[in-house]
Amino acid sequence: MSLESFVEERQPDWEELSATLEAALKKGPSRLPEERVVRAVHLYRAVCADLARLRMLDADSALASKLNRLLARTHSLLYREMPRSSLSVSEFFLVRVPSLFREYWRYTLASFVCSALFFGMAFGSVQKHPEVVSDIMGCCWGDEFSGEKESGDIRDRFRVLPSPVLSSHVTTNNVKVALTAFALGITFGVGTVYMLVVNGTMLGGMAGAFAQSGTSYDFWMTILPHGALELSAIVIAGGTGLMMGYALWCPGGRTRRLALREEAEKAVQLAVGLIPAFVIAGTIEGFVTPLSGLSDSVKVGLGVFAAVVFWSYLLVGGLSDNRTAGEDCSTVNIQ
Amino acid sequence: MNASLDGRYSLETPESVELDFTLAGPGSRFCAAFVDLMLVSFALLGLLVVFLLVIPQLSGLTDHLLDGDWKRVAGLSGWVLALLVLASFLLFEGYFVLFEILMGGQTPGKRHFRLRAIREDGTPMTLTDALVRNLLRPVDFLPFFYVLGGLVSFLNSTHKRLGDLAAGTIVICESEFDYRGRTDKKYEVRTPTEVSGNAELSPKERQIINGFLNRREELFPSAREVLAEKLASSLHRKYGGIPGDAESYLERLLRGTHYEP
Repeated sequence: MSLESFVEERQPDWEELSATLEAALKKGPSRLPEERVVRAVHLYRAVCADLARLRMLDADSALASKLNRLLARTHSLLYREMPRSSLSVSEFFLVRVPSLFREYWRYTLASFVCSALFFGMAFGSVQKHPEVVSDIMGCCWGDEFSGEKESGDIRDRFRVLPSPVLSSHVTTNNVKVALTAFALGITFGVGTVYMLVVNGTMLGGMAGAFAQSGTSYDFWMTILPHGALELSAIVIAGGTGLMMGYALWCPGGRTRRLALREEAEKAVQLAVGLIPAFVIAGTIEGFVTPLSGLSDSVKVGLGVFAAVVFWSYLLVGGLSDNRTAGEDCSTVNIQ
Repeated sequence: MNASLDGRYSLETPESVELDFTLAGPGSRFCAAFVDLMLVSFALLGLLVVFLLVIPQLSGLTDHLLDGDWKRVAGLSGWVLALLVLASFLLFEGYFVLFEILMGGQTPGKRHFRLRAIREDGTPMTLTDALVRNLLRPVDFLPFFYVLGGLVSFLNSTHKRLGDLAAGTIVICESEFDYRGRTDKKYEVRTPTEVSGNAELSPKERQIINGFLNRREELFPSAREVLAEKLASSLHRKYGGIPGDAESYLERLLRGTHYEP
């Protein structure tokens, strides 16, 4: 068959597919009548064959590249990743997040060990040499804690009015920190480890300074109501960054690129899954911690209760569901 | 799947046909990112104006201010400020993810420059892909305006920044998908040139000449002239004949009458 008669014969199909694509892009593919979509799938395959034929004949490169553009555009409409068994929002938070946590608990442990190590080191060195506080916390803190403090002063320093601003500020800030800890995993985990080290050192230095001035009790009573939940979530978020970093150092039997991609996909889901925990912690910090009418034991009780609920959610959430987190649905499906 | 030097990205489809995508270079992506950043900034500014000027009016904040009812002011402005903090956070963090999901891999900036982010296998991004890609954006942004991301994308063959590497996405340039020509909107079957015209020409040469002659109406006049000159001079060196006008020489060469004026 000559090129001319080939073009003549196949041209109507190309025009039809072109028109269908135009309509699909204008109105959205879901608005097209079903028979037109089915027809488009059929046409797509036929035009693919035409393109292969044109290339084999090495005939008209301008025409071939036109068909290529048409097909490339259609391709992204026809094919898409099979939705992960249409995971709903509730399924994501109730089943997927906890099972991801259980699958990757080692990274949380590593993140905890790293934070705790530097917490302990900072705490210990402030106990021994109180003057290092200013090195750890910056200049102003050293002066604050140089003298003996009355326990009331410390309370006052942290006493703020219960406020929605504080709450939303703390929540968004924590979410930002958590997502940054995840994102910095791309630096082979170095950035994430740095964040954990800074975090652990600051907290350790602060706790050490308060202990030094004999106001440990006040310090922990101020931190614990929201901190139990917040610090748990931060440690897990650090773990998600370590997941990516570890995949880059030790990709196993995969290429680094593939390892990074696979681990990043799971890590991001775990990191995003922590957002509700930060919202709850932020609400407690903004509205409960500063309340003066509530006794310390009630506040701490509430904080510990929230943390216990959070951890038991992570440990048993979605256990009855037999879908596992590692399940991969990489099949591509014509919709 | 592979990328070549000229910015093409070939993908083998399940139909065993290779489709070519044109990869977007760092330059156009930089421009798109700049537009998006401007839009986010303007939106934030607008948000600020709304919160500072409009909301206090609506909630009677200004009345309390005038009455000197400070307690009510503190209570109300607290909520307003909290909302502002939340809204700006969502706008800043959510802009890219939201648009890339709603517009199928595009943001307003990308649409303006006809770019689109897709998965490496040519399929649209999932929510997870968009999240990975855009949560890593601040790292690509380091130390200022995408220096790190730009460097990384210069250094790898598919122009991926770190977010693209982690998410397995590429950014492509969308060309006109219409297979019909630009000028006539219709692929015309040209009057068949005599195939047997010049037996000296190799099939490839014949195809190149034909390809040029068929497309010449679509080319810019200057480009058309340069191309014709290039083709004619190199073919003239090989086949000789009377040069004359470059395009007419190509036509005559195809017919095998290049020695006739």
